[in-house]
Amino acid sequence: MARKDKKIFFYKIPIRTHIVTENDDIVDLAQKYSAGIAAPGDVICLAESVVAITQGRAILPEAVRPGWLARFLSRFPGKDGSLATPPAMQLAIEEAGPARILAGCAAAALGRLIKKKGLFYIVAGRELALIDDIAGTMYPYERHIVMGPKNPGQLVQAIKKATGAEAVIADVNDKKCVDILGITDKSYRQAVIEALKDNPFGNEDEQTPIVILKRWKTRL
Amino acid sequence: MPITARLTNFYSKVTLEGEEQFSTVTIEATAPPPVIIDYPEPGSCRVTLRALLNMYPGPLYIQDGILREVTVEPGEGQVTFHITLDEDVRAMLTGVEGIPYRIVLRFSRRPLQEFYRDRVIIIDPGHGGTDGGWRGPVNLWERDMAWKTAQELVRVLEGFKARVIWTRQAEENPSWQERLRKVTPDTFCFISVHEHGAADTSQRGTAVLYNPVVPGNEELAAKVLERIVARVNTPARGVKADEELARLGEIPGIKLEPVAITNWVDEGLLRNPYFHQKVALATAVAIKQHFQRGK
Repeated sequence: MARKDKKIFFYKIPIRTHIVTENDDIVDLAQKYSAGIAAPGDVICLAESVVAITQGRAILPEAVRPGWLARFLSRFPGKDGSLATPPAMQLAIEEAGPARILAGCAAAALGRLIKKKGLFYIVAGRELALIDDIAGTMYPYERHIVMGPKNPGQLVQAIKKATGAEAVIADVNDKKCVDILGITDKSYRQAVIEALKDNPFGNEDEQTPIVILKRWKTRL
Repeated sequence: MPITARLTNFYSKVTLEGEEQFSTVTIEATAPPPVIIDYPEPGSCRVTLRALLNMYPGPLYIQDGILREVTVEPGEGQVTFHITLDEDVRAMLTGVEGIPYRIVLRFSRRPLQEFYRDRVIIIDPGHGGTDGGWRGPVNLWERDMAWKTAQELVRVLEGFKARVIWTRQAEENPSWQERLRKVTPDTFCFISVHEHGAADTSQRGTAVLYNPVVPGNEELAAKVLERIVARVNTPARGVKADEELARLGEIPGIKLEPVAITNWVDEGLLRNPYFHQKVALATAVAIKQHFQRGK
């Protein structure tokens, strides 16, 4: 008999935190704010931009010197996207290398012809889609370009070890897109995506970069 | 033994119930905590909960015309929320079951509606049609951003029951003379919306211009500037007299420049729809507070 997939349902508990900086340790933060709430079987979810900020990956554009390639290529992406300014494009070039960026541009040009979106990031690297351009992150980081986090897989394992709960690092937006960058138990993946679709991290003034998902029902 | 609630989050929103608006403070907890509300002095509401604190207890600056700010005081097995009020209103308390359990405090926004009801306000989005005004370094135009902010101003002011008159439609670009023709003898205030632009793209921030003919309009502009800057965290570029607005004569008038669109960061701020909402609400609240001074 075929085994049915587990259906897991969660209560969502956003936690208000202080304004996180590069002086914070993300594992300590997860432990501190989930104490007494998250238990084994629950999931501690962290917004990817906050993880990146603790890693010192929020960069002031003044600290970046865009080259001619960055200045040229930044004219082409969608203007509401993440690589529309020369400093953000320069950081993308430094992250992925000029060859991958140019290959991505060629793929994007092909994508325009065949009316298929997203080919740039498929070829140049999905980590580039995590870059938040100037004003893409809340105050006091609105002047920064925030890169994607490094080593999300290792970080979630460290959080699980420290707290006993499962852990997730995710990129979520208000268009119901959820990108899981790191997860300790892959069997939770679909349930976590469903739970985060309405963006409980918030995209306005909310200071809730940690959301605890409490398990409330298991159906087999 | 009852479970001790842990407080996880709190936030404020403006909600609409039928025609009535409310400023709300919502406190989220892992279980229902015992709650006591009192009013230790005018303009202050105190909410005490038997609970532990998991969330960050830093202040929440609201400034929506009814609620000014909330500060949190952790104590021995209890947490006290001090809510500073701009108006003499009382909270209606509701508990919403679930996880998290929500304690919702609703404060009527009638004082704002009572102030604005039937007042005539002219909203003037700058530029229009083929005149785009300043262009941002990526792609935004002053014309379109002024229109967005103006739409939010109209939404806020009509919610307060004001009578709003536009100086232009989306695709029009009337002359200043034609815009001034919209002014009626009973006009309470004229609000023009622009963005700043400069060849020096490092210039950032918010400015408010005013009609120098009307005594007190400089103070009005200063109040509006103070409120906007507090709400959207932009640098203040100051207030100054505007010769175009002087042609309004004795009608109070201001010209908003929420950002310098020619700056990378400021242009990016304009992409956020909440930015326009915050500028609009801060402006409406500041105007009321200016004209109610001393009452």
